[in-house]
Amino acid sequence: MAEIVETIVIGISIGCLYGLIGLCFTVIYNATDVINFAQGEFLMLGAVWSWLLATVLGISLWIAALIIVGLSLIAAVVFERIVITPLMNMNAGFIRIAICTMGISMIISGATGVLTKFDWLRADPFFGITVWGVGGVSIQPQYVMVVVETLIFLGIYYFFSKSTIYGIALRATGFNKTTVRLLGVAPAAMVFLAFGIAAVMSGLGGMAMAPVTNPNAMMGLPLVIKGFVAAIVGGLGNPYAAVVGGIFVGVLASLVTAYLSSAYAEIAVFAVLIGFLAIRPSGLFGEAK
Amino acid sequence: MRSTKPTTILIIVLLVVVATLPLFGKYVTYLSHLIGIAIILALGINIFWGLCGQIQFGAAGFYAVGAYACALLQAKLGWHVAYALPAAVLASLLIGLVTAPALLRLKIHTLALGTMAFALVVYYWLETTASVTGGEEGLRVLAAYVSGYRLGPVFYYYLITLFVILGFIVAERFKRCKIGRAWMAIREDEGCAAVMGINVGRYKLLAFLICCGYLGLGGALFAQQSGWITPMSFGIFYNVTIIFPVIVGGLGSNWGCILGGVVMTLLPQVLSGMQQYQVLVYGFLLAGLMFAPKGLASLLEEGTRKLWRTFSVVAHTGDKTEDRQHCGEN
Amino acid sequence: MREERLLSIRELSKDFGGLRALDRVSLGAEEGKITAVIGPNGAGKTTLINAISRVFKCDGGEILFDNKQIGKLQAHDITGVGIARTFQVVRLFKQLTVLENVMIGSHSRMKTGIFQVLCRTGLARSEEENAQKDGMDALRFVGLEDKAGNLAGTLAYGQQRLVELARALASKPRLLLLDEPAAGLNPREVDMLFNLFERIREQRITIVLVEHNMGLVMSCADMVVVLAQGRTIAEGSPKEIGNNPTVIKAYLGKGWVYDRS
Repeated sequence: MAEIVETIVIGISIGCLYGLIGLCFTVIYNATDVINFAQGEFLMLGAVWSWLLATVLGISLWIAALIIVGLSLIAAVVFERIVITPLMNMNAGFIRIAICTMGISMIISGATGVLTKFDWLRADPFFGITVWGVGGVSIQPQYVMVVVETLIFLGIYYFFSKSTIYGIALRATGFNKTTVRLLGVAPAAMVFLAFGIAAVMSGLGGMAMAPVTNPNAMMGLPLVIKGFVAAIVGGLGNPYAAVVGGIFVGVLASLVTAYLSSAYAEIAVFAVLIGFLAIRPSGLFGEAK
Repeated sequence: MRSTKPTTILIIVLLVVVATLPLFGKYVTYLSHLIGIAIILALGINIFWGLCGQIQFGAAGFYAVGAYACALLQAKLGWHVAYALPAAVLASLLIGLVTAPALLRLKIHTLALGTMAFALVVYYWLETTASVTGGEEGLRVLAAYVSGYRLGPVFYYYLITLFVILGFIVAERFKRCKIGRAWMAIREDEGCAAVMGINVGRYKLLAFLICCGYLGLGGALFAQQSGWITPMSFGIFYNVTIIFPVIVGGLGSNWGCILGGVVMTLLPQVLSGMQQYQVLVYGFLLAGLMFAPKGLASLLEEGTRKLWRTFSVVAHTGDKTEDRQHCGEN
Repeated sequence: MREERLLSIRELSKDFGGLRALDRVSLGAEEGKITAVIGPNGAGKTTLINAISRVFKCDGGEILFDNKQIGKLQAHDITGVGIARTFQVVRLFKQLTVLENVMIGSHSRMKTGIFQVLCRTGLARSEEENAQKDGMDALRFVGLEDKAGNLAGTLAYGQQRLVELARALASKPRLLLLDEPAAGLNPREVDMLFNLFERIREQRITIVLVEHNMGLVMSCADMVVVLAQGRTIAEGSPKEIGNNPTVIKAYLGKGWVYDRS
């Protein structure tokens, strides 16, 4: 019994990670119609930087977090300026942009791989070797941290998108660029904002997850695929639903891995995706067309 | 007016090289196997994606179906490769037929994800069914014999080349006829194509199945020339790189598929000393190409046109003046 | 009751979510004549064209073409029964050449199957030649035969509209549905359009014309139907419509004077 609960907890935690990617990816997609294959790389970078700063250099966690935020923002700016906006100005179809993001994803993971020799890095847990025991169930605080972090991000995003002018504009960009202008905000700024938010959230998510997932340069692509599944299962276009979808996927994967194998877990996840695409493409919370 | 002498010389040289390639050694033969297969795959993907405009991110899945179907029929049922090969193509078509209703309804983003999901399901399924498919360790592909002679690399070179030529001719025929036009119309504007009388669903299915056919064929040929297949050849990374030749050559161009096949097969060989940079280089290639949408084919077209002009001038330096005027540049 | 008119629409209704775009619309088009559909924006004119060309299913009513129900047909069947259309905003296949675009119009008339096409049998080759010939004829009809090899996307807007018309004509239709063909054209181009309509009418091709350009409508239409808010509010000859107080109030405005010159 305790094992099932532990498995589910891990599943929820990893699911939050998928959901986070799904959320970030949805934010970008809503604002710019771009499918960002490189989304997982922001998370990978967060994890690798976390390893570098906290484990290797021994910098305190809070400072490391700040540095990661900064680095993520820089990454977002570079990505957006060099790649996304020029392509959008060229009126490139979003397939081309999507494939380009795939290329960027390979550049980022390839470069990181060269620097880390594609090793699996070992990051120290933030809370040492403490393990919480709750009613006979042992839970690593790291997993809880990811969940808490995701919830905090969700809250911040909710507040931001409902109450601030930039947040409202961000939601509106996907619908109508003119509306955005009327609000006094430049559409180009929206693109940067979307990428910035996505990069920072993913980066911090990666940081939190580094101790349990063992950062690796190539971890980005499988993660972003799970993020897509999360977004679609939840309902494409709905950031909150993406998190729910992610948790669903995470728990499913975790359970199947525990009782069968990780390969079967992958099959289960993709079978679920195909099932949704075939029967209910709008996802759990999307509007059926 | 085009000068005929240099063209004919070049073509003859190319034909001679292609016909006698195995004489250049085992390594060259091996490379041309890979190039040929890459071209066949690219031609198939080009039909579904380049002409019909539907994203195919799951090519590796059908490629794997072709390879494993062929290998399994030979290993478990003892079929001769002459039967296993077409059967493998059929298997790929069948799987395509089964997945088509679910996949072809999808548009763009979800189609991309759906096809990718399919390929990944195939890949992970291959890893889990060790008893049947050898799992991670893979499957040995039995050598085939015809009247006592072993079918070796040289035979497969000519077979692959034959299929490349046939596949190319078929692809070009499709492109220039009403079917190709219908596909391109669907690519440009699906709704408008429908109102113009094109049965979009049926044509998409046709393009999809033909693509599956090419992919299955490529897979079966790969299994034969490789001797041992593992799921690794069909995994996530390969699923991404399998589309490189089409994109490098330019979506929509069959000649581009040939170009892309050559480039993408030779590239890893060039990089062989710098293995760890492979992902990085591929990334730059892919991202960079997106800024030049017509692919290398059109860029090279420009280049070769200029090169051709120089070549013609040089080749005709000894000609009499009137002849040169007749054969002047277009 | 046997229907005399080539196209007959009875009590047609279409809802989009909460919006009633067409509300029991009834109208007809006589063969060989030009029937114009006019009305303010949002009246449902384009929805009407979309309904006839089977872009979507309607929620009520029926559409009779040549006395046959076509309300259940799929979009790709309409060229087969002899209906072709153009779009309000030009929808050409931009990456194809002008001739290829027009040849798509002949698509449904080409009956050869895959294998015949691939093997380039005599039948397939002659069909392809015929399609090419018909395409060039259509281009000649609209005066663009010298642009046949150009990419459709490179043409000027007015010329693109003509290519769309040629594409529709290439399917040898009995009924042409034209959605604001004069939109975005200068007066000289509109005159050319008027001449084309006359020549199309000579070939006994029926035209249903949605248009805002009143000059064009009043000078070429045999019958005018006025739609407003999804309903027919008037039907009659151009002169009758021009003097109809309801129509003037809903759409034309008092300053408009009917003058067929």
